[in-house]
Amino acid sequence: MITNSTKLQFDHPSFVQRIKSMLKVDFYRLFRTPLFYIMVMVSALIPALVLTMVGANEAEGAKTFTNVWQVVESISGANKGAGIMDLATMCNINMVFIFTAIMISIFVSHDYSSGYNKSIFTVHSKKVDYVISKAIVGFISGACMIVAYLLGAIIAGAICGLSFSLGKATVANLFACIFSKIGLMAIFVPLYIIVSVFFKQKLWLSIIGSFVVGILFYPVAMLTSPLNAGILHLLLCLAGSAAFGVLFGYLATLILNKRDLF
Amino acid sequence: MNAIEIRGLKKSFRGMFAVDGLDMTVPVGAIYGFIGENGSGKSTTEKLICGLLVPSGGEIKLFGKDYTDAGVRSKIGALIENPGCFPSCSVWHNLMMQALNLNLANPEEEIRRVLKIVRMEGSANNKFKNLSLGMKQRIGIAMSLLGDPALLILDEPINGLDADGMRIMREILVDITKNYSATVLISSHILGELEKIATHYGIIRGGKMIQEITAEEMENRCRNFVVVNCADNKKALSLLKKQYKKVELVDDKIQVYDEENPETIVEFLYKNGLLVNEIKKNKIGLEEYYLDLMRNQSKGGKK
Repeated sequence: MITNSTKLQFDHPSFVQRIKSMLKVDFYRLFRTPLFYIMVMVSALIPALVLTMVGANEAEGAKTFTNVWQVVESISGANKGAGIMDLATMCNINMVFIFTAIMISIFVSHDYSSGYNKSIFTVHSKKVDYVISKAIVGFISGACMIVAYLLGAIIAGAICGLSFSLGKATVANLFACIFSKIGLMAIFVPLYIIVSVFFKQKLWLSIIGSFVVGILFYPVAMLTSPLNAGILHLLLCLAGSAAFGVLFGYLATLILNKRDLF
Repeated sequence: MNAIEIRGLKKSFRGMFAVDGLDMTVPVGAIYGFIGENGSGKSTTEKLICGLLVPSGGEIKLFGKDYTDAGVRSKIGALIENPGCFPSCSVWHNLMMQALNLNLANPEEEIRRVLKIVRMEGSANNKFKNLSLGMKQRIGIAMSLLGDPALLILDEPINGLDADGMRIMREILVDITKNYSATVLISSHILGELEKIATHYGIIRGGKMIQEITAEEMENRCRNFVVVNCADNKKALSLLKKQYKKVELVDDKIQVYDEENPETIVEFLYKNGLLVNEIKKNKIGLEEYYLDLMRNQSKGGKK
């Protein structure tokens, strides 16, 4: 038996140390399980699927896609019938936001269903560590999926013989568009985390919930980051993402703090 | 200083209190056997200590600090219900994740160390889902031992372990409390095993702590008794009741308490015209003590 005079020393891990250890775990898991690679692969293959499906539904002589970048995103105002959402306007790089929903749901839900969350929350008393780490991992995964989609679109478009002409847009616009979409991940990922921690180990409810939330926020991704996005679009997306990302992250932490793990 | 100090802890699920004003004191360096019936609130208490459930009221202090203190919590090892491992990942990957979670300086070395302790070195590359129940339990124990925890919380860790596993478990717990100044909170239904290692006991019923006792006190309270079986147990019982303070008829056999010499009883009964068919000396162990306490609690009495 230890006497009362025995003093136990406890290191007090700083915020950075806590986040670092959580990130190490999440990245270790992300890169050692097939989920991430499958989702990146799917993102890369979807443009080819879009080109095939749209091509199969085209009337004779009509061309939906005339250049590669239309598979990625549309130019704002270019579509006169913007109210009508056809396959070509819906099926583009913004679908990655929906794939991210599936990925986050599976990633978080497995923490619960495997019981690994017990180890995490026993060691990490601050639930915010979990949310921040998952948000960073989800953000980076989402960014990888956006890049994979872009590369997939370029390759699939090239194979189909589509033009690489940007039309009314410029290369700078293209970069602003892509970076805006990457920035928007900071809104979508915490939203999916909210849904996932709410449904805990109920994977299917989590996927459906995230999917619904993703669809509701889908127009945000379409409207704020068109192919001809400028610096203002980019700044708006980054500022909005930061603000809403923090807000949604706070809500996810609140849910974790107020609810039991089981 | 106490490793765990709980005052008035409450936890309700849909209005039903699983833990109802629980007080608990676990001294540093103790192996605290946490005993109670199914649904008495043992696991809920352990989950509350680990921060897995949100308390409805009360106070939990670990090593004198609030239980949410990040420094204290990073030194807790726990095995609650089942090991929290990813089934499709290998044992090594699962342990590595926990080592990273704990921010250990030498994760590989530490994993090898704990695998050696639970004698599972050969299973490092096996997928967790392919292990047997006992092997999974050992991995759960290994996981909880990573990083030399100051407090180890084990919920039914002996479940599924074979005799060798139980022995290893005993050795580990005694070793970490003696050599690493760790404190262990262990709940188990296998009271015989618990009796071999526990230094303190806490008995919980209906979410309330009904008794906290040291192993020494328990030893003092565990009385000797003699089990007697006669041809006419009814008559023997009435005779023995006049001679001894506490005599009971349990399972059609008479138990005479605080008599260490069976010959005295045989002689007494013989003189009264009764022949003894069977007689043996016995001692109340933890199990009997616990069951007796539960019986008294059910009757509303106090021991």
